[in-house]
Amino acid sequence: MDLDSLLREEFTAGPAEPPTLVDERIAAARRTRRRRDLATRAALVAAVLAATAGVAGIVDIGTRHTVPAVPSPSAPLDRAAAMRLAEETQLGPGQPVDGQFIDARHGWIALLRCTTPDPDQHCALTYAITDNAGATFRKLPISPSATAGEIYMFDPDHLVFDRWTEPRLVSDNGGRTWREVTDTSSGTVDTVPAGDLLAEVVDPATEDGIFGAMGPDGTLRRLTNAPVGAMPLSEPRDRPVGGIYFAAVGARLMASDDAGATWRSADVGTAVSASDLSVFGDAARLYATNETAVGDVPTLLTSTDRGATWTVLPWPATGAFPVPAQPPRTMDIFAGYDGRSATYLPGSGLYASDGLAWWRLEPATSQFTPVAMRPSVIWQPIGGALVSLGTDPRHPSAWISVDGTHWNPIHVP
Amino acid sequence: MVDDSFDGFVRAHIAALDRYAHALTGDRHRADDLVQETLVRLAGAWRRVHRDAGDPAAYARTIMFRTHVSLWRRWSRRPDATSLTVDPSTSRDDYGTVDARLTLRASLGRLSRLQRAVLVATYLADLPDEEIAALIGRSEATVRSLRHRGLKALRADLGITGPDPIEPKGGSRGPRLPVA
Repeated sequence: MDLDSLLREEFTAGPAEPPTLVDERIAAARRTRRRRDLATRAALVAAVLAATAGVAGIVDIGTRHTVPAVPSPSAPLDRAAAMRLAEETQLGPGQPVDGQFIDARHGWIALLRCTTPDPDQHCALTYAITDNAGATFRKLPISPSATAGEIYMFDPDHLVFDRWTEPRLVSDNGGRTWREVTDTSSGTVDTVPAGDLLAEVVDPATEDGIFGAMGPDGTLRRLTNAPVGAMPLSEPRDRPVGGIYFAAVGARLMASDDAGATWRSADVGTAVSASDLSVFGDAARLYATNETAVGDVPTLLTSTDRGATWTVLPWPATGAFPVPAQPPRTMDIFAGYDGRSATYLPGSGLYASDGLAWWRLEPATSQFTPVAMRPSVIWQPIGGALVSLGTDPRHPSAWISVDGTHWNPIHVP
Repeated sequence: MVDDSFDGFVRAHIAALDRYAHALTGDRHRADDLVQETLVRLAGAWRRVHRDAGDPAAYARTIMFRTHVSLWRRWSRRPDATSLTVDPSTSRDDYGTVDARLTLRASLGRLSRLQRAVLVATYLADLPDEEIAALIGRSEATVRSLRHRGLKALRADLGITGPDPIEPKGGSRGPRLPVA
């Protein structure tokens, strides 16, 4: 037998056994991916902090105050401060990496606390809940490790913690106590019932991915007419915007006006992929922006016909935000941004930032006007709120606001 | 109906991914690690792969090859899994074919990661040099050099003498063995 034949036989032989535990391998991959994504976002925050510390200058650390001055984008970097922050690798209570506010007072956040600079190691997620717009947070007794999950907050009392491949946890007392639910998959439903949330989770009983409705008791029901391959948007993951449910099918944006009974295509053009989109606003005017890789420029879109068509909304004139110097750690990092962000604060409107200065969109004129905002070296919009990080290199902390005016330092015991 | 979900892709392609990983590593446990790392990275890129209307199978293969190459240093610090070593000078007998396979396996284990990756891409994936170069992030000339040196080492271990055979030209080697 010649070498060519030997090599061909050797390589095509493959492992002796057929693949086993495929579902477990899929679930493990999803779980690891989620943990890495969160860790990556935290690492990027740390990188930006290290690169930009000192830009915002020193501000007083107090409670619940408004900072009138807009920092100058041209302020020189304080390298010494940058070094101090780089060594810290962590801000006060940890780095907020996820969260959602369901109204002006109630919300949750996930904080990643790392004890080494390597985000793959020794990091743990802490989940905390607030009922006073972030003035105080109460730590939830879940997830003591870095194992990630998704919190579905139905109302201030009812929460479900989806642990991806383990049985979900349910709380009906604001997260003070939790119970495990085992029998949670119960057929199909034509629409998302009132009180339920849109969800895409892996059913731990069958290992199947389910796109459908989740009830406050953790019950999952597949949405009968959901488009094949439908996935929730980046935000909102579980709620309608202006009464419209959105979902991504690959690059296509789908919308439902009747709680998931029927779905229509929503044309966002070819410049963005629906799977990267966050949609916010109200029924009269919707906004969307996409999550991009580090260094890419996100797109800002708006729609006045319930998402049927979208037009590009030019960003306000921006300053020069220092993009993280370090490249993505792996070739497939998904999360990242160039400093630009947009968020919608209910009752206040659309805000856009280049990472330093802020503008608010005047709906009547569709023009951005500068607004004073708390100084920060990096901003992290989380659902319905803004988090400002590293406002003071001497006292690094994270601050949160749901209206862009009143700010509270995040303190989780 | 085509299942274009991540789960559906994995279920349809896991056997092929296992085969590639096994060919690249020659070790069951490392192959399992490599497949799992590939799945983790693919899961992170899944939406983007669809957005770009890409070929998930080709993307998975690229991830696997590059991961395999980049993991070389990490794995090289681990104690080796039990490896079969065969001295070709004492083991050639009537069971020559079996011996040759064992010797080949041991010899493959001594090749560099890149050399082995090039051989797998050539003989299992049947890829042209241009694609192999893109796969491992090297030039086509480097691909040819790696293959030449790899084959030379294998021939030496197997006791194959005589002039160098004509080097394989990727893309014209019989039936293509796709990822799935």
